Amino acid sequence: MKRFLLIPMFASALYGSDELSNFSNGNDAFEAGNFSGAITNYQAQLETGLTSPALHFNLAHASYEAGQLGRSIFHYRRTLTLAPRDGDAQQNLGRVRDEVHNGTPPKAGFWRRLTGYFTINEWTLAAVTLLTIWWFWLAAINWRPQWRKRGAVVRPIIGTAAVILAAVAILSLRLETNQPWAVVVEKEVSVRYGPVGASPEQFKWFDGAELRVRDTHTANGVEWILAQDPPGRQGWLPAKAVLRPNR
Amino acid sequence: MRGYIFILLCLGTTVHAATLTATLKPGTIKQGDSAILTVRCEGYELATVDPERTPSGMGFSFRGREKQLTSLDGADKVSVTFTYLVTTSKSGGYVVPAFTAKLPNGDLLRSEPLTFMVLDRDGDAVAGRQPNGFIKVQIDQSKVFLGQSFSVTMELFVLRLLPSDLPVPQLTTPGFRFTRKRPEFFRTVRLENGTRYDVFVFKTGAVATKVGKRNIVFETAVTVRDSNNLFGKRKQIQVTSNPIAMEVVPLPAEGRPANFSGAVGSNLLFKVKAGSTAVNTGDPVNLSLEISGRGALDQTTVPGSDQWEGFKLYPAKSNIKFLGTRHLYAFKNFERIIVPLRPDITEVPKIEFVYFDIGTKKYVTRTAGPFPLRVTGPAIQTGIGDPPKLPNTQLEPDQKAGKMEPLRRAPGVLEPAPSPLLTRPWFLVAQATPLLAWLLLLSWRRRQIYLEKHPAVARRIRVQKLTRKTMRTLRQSNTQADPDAFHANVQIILREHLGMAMNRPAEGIGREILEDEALPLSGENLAALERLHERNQLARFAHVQEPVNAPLNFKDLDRVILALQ
Repeated sequence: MKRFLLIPMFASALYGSDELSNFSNGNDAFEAGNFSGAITNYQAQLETGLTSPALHFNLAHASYEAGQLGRSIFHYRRTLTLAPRDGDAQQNLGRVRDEVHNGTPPKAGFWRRLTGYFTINEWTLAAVTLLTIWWFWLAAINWRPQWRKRGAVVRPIIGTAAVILAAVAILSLRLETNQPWAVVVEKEVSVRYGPVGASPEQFKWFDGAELRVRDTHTANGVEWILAQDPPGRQGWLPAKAVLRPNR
Repeated sequence: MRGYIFILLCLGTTVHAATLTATLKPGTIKQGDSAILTVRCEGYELATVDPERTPSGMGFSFRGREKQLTSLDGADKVSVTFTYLVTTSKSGGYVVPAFTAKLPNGDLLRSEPLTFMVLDRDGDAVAGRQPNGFIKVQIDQSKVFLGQSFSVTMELFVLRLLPSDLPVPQLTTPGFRFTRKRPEFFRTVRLENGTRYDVFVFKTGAVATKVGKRNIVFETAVTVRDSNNLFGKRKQIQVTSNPIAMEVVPLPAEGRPANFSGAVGSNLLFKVKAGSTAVNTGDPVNLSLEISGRGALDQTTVPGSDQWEGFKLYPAKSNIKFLGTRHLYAFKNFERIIVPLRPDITEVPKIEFVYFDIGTKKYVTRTAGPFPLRVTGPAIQTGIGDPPKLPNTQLEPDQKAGKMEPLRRAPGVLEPAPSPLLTRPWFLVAQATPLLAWLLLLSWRRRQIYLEKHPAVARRIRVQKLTRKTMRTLRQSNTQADPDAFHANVQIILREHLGMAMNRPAEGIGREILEDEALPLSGENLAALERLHERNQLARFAHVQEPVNAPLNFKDLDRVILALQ
């Protein structure tokens, strides 16, 4: 019986050590100045499907040191999606963006700045907590009308706050799902009028350009995306030239 | 050996004579077209050349390398030409950066930067027009020392700029940095070659960070409307300044004190204040060090040594206040905590601050202290029982600024990337529970209020409910087997319906109702009611033991109820 009990413990220990080995191998490679080795190890960890803000942070840092600014921006943004109040990631992302945009990075839109202080799930939980309290309270005063006067001032405040938080949670989700983003990770990429290689080139985007994905199209087995940059320029580019968060 | 020396001499001579020249043709292109850039090295067979910087919005596409050998006066001369296609993402003025190459003897070859103009896609139509934007720059000096700050005034001339988008021109030449990234500006209008431009004047300063001769260039991308129409299409254009020659000379090695840490300025002042004059061993003493004057003080480090005999020193915290719009003058203050460890200490040692004075072109040493300090208490051994950690021992803020935060040592909780709760069905269903509870109780409450206001409706509902319940009992065989119970239940239904129809309480209604004039029954219906009462009387009071004729009773009961409704 004891043997059977030991099997899951041993398996979990092995699993845990595997998890940590990729991460710590990445850190070791980074400390040795082998940034591409560090990236490979961190990527191997990401491919297991298990992730954390620290993993994306280190991958972003290694990419920055390896001169892959676009990849670095992508992973700092992923860090901030998971841990939006991570001051170190914010500072490093600002630094990389400064380098890409020569000191004048484009500003995030108002709604992104508003919703960016919490994760979608944090907004959601805050909203549902207040909504649940508010709805149960409303239910209670219908059940026992004599309770109506208790908390008559607080109740509408909770209700208003709950509705606002719910709106922000929905907005935050829509921004993430309806406006998918991508970062150029090639040194330079030609942006074309149409989703075919033969289409004339409009202009170029460079490593680190942050884009909004408007559409995707697959032609001859090659996936293309229609993307737009902050100044409003738009065009088609091969999907392999960018990194996008997994849907 | 002689041959070797000869080869070295020859190589030295050839390398010494090498030059790097860049040419760009044509000087004006349409957006989407390319210009041909040739970089020619004469006198040495270079393998590669590199641009000094990668300009934003400009791409170089390598087309080839060509080697040529020419004989002049019997001597062979080698030259290599590198060809590139230059393309840009936006229309406007551009500067192709200088190209550089390093020779084996360590010399750096450098070509001059080149300017060129990129017109709109409809370039023919606008070729005769004034450019949509350009930058004029005024710099007060052309030769500066390494680390010296100087004033820069940038005038951004632009047509139809979108008011929400005003970028600051950037200093794109390596070896210089701005004293302020977001300088103050004012707006005016100027006539330039017959065209009225909106002009944004930025006043700032810059600091030389690398030695050498360079052409300093400012550029930015601005978003403008492509016509005077309010709804004109937005487009981005690149605007640049003409290159300005600058020479940055190194600080003299002669007379440089060993403790010089790179501060450069003019008439800098240095003051120090000690917070206490009498303390116990292990107690902190606050030192306030202030440097002020004209100079780039933002990167100046705390004066004085990091090791003082008999003291434990904590890292300094600094803050800086700038004077003037260009940030060329500043007050930099360092707060440093020192802890005396021995009672024989009698003073805070003197602190020296060394800087290079631009005015006198000499190194100047300013000193402050020593400051008397009386220390009492037992000596504290460093390493054993160190003084407790003090607050404010972080890095200096300006040391931290611009640094990348280091790696995370631990991976944290590794888990699959969380999907939004709002997209999970179980979560949405769970949220519907309190909403449903509220809606149910709300509708229940509304019904209660309605029934309180409409007692007739409430009575009807109650009677219908009672009738349904009693009818279920009457249809049961055991009830029909007991005539007494059967007729008692029939009477309950009759009383309730008669009371409702006559608007009276049901409790007081009996057989005497048949004589009541208000009874709303007549003919066959009244006869049916009388039959029901008669059977009830016979069964319950005369104890006639006849089996119940249920269908007959139901028929009469239905007729009476229907008539009363």
